[in-house]
Amino acid sequence: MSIVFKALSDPTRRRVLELLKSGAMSAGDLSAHFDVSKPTMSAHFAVLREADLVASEKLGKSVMYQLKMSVLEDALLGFAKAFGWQLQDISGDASTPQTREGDTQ
Amino acid sequence: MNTLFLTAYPLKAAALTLIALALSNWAFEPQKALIWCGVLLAISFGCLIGWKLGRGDSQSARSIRASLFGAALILSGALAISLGDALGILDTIVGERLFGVMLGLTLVVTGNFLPKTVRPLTRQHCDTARLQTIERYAGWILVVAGLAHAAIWIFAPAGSANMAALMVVAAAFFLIAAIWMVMSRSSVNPSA
Repeated sequence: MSIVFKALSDPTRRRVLELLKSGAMSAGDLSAHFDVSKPTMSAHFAVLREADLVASEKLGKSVMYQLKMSVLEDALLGFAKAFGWQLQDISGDASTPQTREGDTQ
Repeated sequence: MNTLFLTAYPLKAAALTLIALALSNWAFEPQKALIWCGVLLAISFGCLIGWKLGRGDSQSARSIRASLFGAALILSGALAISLGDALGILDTIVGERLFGVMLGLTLVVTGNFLPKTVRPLTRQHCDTARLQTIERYAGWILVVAGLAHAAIWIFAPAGSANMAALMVVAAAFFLIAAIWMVMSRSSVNPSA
């Protein structure tokens, strides 16, 4: 469960989950919504996959992502959004990928 | 939950518990032999499914083991309540209430995991976004209905609990059917 909390503690990952509520999207389409580098987005996707909150599938040349959240995880996402959970300590933590200078989270 | 079913040991333990409970029930209530025969047959059928399809380390085998374990848990609860009733440990109404709470919790667990069942995109022949939204709504409705079902069996007077719980579940399924019908005719609201 702690891995789910870790995944939901980042605003970018929460936004990815919100975007996926409208249906499956490719990694490229999801990345287009954020001003962050590709490796950073890949790391965010990896954390979400590890927490089993999204399912990924290779379709042709693109990787498609689908939402895979239980009701409890959906409720946790709602709480996280409402109360703005964030990780305090970032250094060396794989759950918060390093961003470029000027990246928005 | 998935790591629990890396091996078949939890399922084997559940099957043995079930058999012990069914035989104990048979010993204390031999007049219901036909029912206990049916229960033992169902257990044998579950074991057969587990043996045929639930072996190995694949995701589907683990998923089958988890589902069989869930079914075994529900049946164990029902058999334990029945045994408690036969032994005079549980009052009949307490047994009924426990069974009602257990059914409610089963609905909660089912509803909770419903939106997590994801099919590969290549195997989906309908609007995936719409299906996902319907499953999310259905999951939430089943969780709320399950909690209400359990709460009714805990707090409502014995005479009216059965009818009230039944109405809650019927309303939940009616609501899910209505949402499914409405959403299959209209477009999906992405912010839902």
